[in-house]
Amino acid sequence: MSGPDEIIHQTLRLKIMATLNVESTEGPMEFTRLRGLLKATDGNLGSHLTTLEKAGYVTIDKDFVGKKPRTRVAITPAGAKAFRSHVAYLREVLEGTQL
Amino acid sequence: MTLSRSDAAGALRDVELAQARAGEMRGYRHAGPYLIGWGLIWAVGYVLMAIRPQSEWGWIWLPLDAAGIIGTILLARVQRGKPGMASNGGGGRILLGILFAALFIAATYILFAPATVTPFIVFPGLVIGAIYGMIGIAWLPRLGWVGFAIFALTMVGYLFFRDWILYWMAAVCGGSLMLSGAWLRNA
Repeated sequence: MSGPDEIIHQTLRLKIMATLNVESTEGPMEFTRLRGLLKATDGNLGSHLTTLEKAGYVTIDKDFVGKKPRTRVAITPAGAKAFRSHVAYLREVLEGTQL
Repeated sequence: MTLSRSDAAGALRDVELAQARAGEMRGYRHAGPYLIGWGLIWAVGYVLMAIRPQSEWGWIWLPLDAAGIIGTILLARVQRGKPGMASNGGGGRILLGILFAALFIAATYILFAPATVTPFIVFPGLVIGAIYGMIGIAWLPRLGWVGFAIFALTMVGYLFFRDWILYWMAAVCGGSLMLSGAWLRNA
């Protein structure tokens, strides 16, 4: 049985991973859209994304559209796998098979 | 790190809420282009009705509706073809929905046989508004607001701007659909 993923389990990081996992079919997600969905502040979201990036769970790409800076975030295959494992662990705990 | 059942339940609830919200926003982004396309068709169709004789009205809508239906099916196929998107027969279901709405409108005309031409002009706006309203109540709240706006604006046009109803339907209702589509596409 797999254990909890301490990086993902933090509340905002869990929501980030859940959102990016749904959005993965659409390609990278813009930082501003993610911020709006999660109702997070720039600083808070940025620091948690950096933590997830260091763990190899997300990629963060910065570029320019015209003169406007753009930051896009995407879940990595390793991140998607870790997220699925963590959710499976949570379900096991809830069902009483993992205590 | 050890988690209790309540911790796990809370975390799973967070996951479900985040995924539901992301899915809802994706639904809006997918709906946006349909609204823009049909808004454009409405605007063109009603303007042509305003400037062409009544005997030609049927011929105006035939190619426009055909273009709208073909565009809708193509768009559904493009969206369905994205990696990871579930194949749910979107194009076919949308087509059936459009046909059912058209049949409902035609049946209503037969049943109630309006004495003047104005109800023929405005009734599709009410039906489309009601359909979006119901979709909004059931799944996507923003579409509910779009439906309410179309419904209300159609009635405002019928009650207060009857002399200009064709231009009203083109500019206000067609324009509302296009603006709503642009709003939803950026969700």
